[in-house]
Amino acid sequence: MSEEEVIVGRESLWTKSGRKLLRDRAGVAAMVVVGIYGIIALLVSFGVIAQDWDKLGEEGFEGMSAAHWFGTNINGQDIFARALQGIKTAFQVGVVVAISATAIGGILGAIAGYFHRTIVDEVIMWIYGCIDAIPFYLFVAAVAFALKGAEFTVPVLDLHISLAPYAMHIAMIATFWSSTCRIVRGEVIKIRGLEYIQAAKAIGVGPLTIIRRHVMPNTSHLLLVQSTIAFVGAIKSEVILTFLGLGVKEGVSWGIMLSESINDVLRGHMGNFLGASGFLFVLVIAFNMFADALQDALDPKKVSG
Amino acid sequence: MTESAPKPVLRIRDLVVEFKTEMGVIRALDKISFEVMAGESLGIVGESGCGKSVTALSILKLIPSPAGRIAEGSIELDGIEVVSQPEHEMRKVRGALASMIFQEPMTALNPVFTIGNQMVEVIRVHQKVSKTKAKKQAIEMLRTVNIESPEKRIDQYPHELSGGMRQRVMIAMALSCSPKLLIADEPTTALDVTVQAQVMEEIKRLQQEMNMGLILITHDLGVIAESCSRVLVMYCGKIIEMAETGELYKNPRHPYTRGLLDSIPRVRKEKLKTLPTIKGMVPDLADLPKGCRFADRCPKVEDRCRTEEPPLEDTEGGGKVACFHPN
Amino acid sequence: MEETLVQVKDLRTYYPIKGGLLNRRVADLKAVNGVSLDIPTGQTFGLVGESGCGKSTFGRSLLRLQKVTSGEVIIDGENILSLDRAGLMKARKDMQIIFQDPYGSLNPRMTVREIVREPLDTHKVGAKADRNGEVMRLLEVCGLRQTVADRYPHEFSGGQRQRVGIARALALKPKFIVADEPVSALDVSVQSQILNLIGDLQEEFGISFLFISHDLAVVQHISHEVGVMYFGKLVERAPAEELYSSPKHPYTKTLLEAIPQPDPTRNRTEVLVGGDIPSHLDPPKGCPFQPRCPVAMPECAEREPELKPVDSDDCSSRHQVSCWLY
Repeated sequence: MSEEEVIVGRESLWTKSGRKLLRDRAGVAAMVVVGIYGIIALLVSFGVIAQDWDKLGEEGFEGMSAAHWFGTNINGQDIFARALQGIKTAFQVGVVVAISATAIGGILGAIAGYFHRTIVDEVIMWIYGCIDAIPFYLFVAAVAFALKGAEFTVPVLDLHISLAPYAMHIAMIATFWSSTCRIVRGEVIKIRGLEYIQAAKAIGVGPLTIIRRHVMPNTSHLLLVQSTIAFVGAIKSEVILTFLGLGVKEGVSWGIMLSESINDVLRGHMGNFLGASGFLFVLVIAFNMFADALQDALDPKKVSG
Repeated sequence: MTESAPKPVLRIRDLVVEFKTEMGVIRALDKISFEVMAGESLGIVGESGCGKSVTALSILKLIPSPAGRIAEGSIELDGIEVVSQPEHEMRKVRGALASMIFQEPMTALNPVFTIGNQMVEVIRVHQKVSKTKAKKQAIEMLRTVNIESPEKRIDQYPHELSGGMRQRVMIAMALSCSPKLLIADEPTTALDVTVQAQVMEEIKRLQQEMNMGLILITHDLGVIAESCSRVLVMYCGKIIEMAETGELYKNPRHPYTRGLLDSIPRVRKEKLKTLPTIKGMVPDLADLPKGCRFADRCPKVEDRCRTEEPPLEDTEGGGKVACFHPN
Repeated sequence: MEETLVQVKDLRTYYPIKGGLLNRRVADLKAVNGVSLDIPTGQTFGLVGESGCGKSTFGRSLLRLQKVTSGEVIIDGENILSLDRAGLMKARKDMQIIFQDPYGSLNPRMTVREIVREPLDTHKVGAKADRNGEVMRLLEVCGLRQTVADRYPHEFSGGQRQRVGIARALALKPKFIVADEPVSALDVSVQSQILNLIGDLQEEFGISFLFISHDLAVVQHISHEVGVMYFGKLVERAPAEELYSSPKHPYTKTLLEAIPQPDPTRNRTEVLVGGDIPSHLDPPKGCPFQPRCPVAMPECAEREPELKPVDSDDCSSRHQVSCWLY
């Protein structure tokens, strides 16, 4: 009773999307640029390059030269090295915020959507409604103030981690999750009515298992795109927050460089400004293009048979 | 053939339609040719992927591009060559010379406009009349398709009407400018059986009254038997059999046609133990076998069938068939 | 004498219709309005009706995929509707469902193996190591090669996906399967393949089926008994042969007349019924079919008829109709 099978292609939906992505030349170019930034971030973290970013020099405000590609700042520190350190800071903030915010938003969105029309959904919607109502920068300031002097203690290891420097991260995660939650919730409300969910219920699979096994994998394309958006959002917010004095306090970031550059520019020295904004601009554009290409490649309407 | 032989409303010759897909270029239609005369009803029957809907869309040049295109061939609609018509000329043709109705009446009508709005829009695209006059014409059309209290219905929204009524509105819209050819693509598939019968009656009656050509596209051999005078059977982008309806059902020549007719579940006098089937599945258009496309599933297949493609040839019954050993 | 496996008593499933300023319940949409039937072991009951008659809601209510308002569903001696969570979990092994849409009924992110294995894993059937072997066996029984196991649903045709859905339904060795329009979305040449498969499975495993369809022709082939639903109620039921050879209810006759037959020589007699199904917001008084019925009598608009056996020479004792003509 067996029949001939038509072999369309032995691959999962991910492989299919991957091939589609690779065909999008603009997307691949953007991906390469982002990849280069990522590699630099790793190299800087492991102390391979740009380690002399805070070495004070004799001559402040040196112009661009072979030794200093973007010149030096008021303290004689190499701007280019500082900009590379800024990549590390940006990625660190971006990765932490993107993963956490997307995970929280994805899980809560799936739960809210699956339990649509019950109290669970209402509560989750109310929570993100409240959060959205608070102006972002005020929220960060409030969190920073609240966490001043706060410590996180790990009892066994007798480790004390100061929370204050992480106020910015915490505030970002606490606000960024809501847009992912909304989008995932909308998609899950649609998925909920599909017959493979009914089939799982008929088999006797419990609701949380259904969410984990059937619902979430079918929102993963959304989560991936949302995480790239959160990444870029986090980097941009960090720059502004640091500029306002609410963000990164130690080390160097593009935000610090830009706030330094206010005075520099008034005196005619563009190094800091060009360095920080140039690197930021390229990264944001590349990432946005990559996110678009990713979204097209993952679109289930175009991918599935 | 005398000089006063009637000209066909539609004449398609060697039409080839291609689509670009991930798997390469596929031929959705591979050199098909047929004609439709005024007042005639032609049925096109086939299963998924056979190309029947693509045929309908090509007549009105509605093939989605750039993915698809008419690669070769000619489509003559009332003497006008469609393939070379630019888009702005085609807009004058659609609705006025030839009209189309679709399968899903809910999605074919815009839910945010009243039916009146949509019908008036169609009329005013092709005729220079005022809104009031167009509305009156629309109400008359609704009356023609047997919709009760058309003056009330004209101001209703699509969701306020049942499926059967929406389909009738679509028919009214399609006929509002008295086209010479009506193409109906699975018009009753989404409807209940009792409503299906009503809608088909409307279509047949209007076709006769207006002496239109009708192309009825469906996978339902029952609907074809009741409504069409001639039938085309399509498989994988090719026409494999053409005949008068009575002849086709009495004496199907192609093994595929015979297999289809046998395997339709129908109300029979005695129950069968096992339904006859056609083994296997429709091949993928991107990966067509050499020779006859039906070879893998054909109960009468021979070596020749796998190497050569059978041409469409005349049969004794007055039709055509593409097979090396028709019944 | 056959054993009754499934007994449904006066099942009602209502949806509240909300309206007004406070969005309160103003009326009920009576999707299933008092349906009773029974299905013997190893037999198929064909449930026919047009869209909106409630047949799909009925099928899902039996499996508690839909909240039931009142009534009893007794499968193998147990009332499914009164079971607690643990009891329901056990009962689910005995009753499964096959869906209409082969494209929506399989999770696109799971392989065929994972899909068919899920019921076995959920109920911890057999040793973990043996479950893969069982999956292979099920695929073979449904006419699929073992090589499909590690592929994804989008790589297959509608007919093959439907076979996967059937393999999944068989995994727990159920006694009863609700088949909700399982062939309606398939090509004609594939429909007969799947119908044959279902027939073979019934013979081999003795499963009872509730076969829901809008297509009377499909249902005739596969059913032992057939019921016709209209507006939430059963208007006629009879052994399959009898329903087609001597239909009694005017609606059944209309349905049979309206089916397009692949026979150009047939002259259809003018039993064309007009109008549409009534609105649930404004249900007709008396018999629900009366506004469209070609032979309606005055009393049809006053009192609703009940489903009763027909007293006629050409009808067996199992033939019941809900109509004042009888």
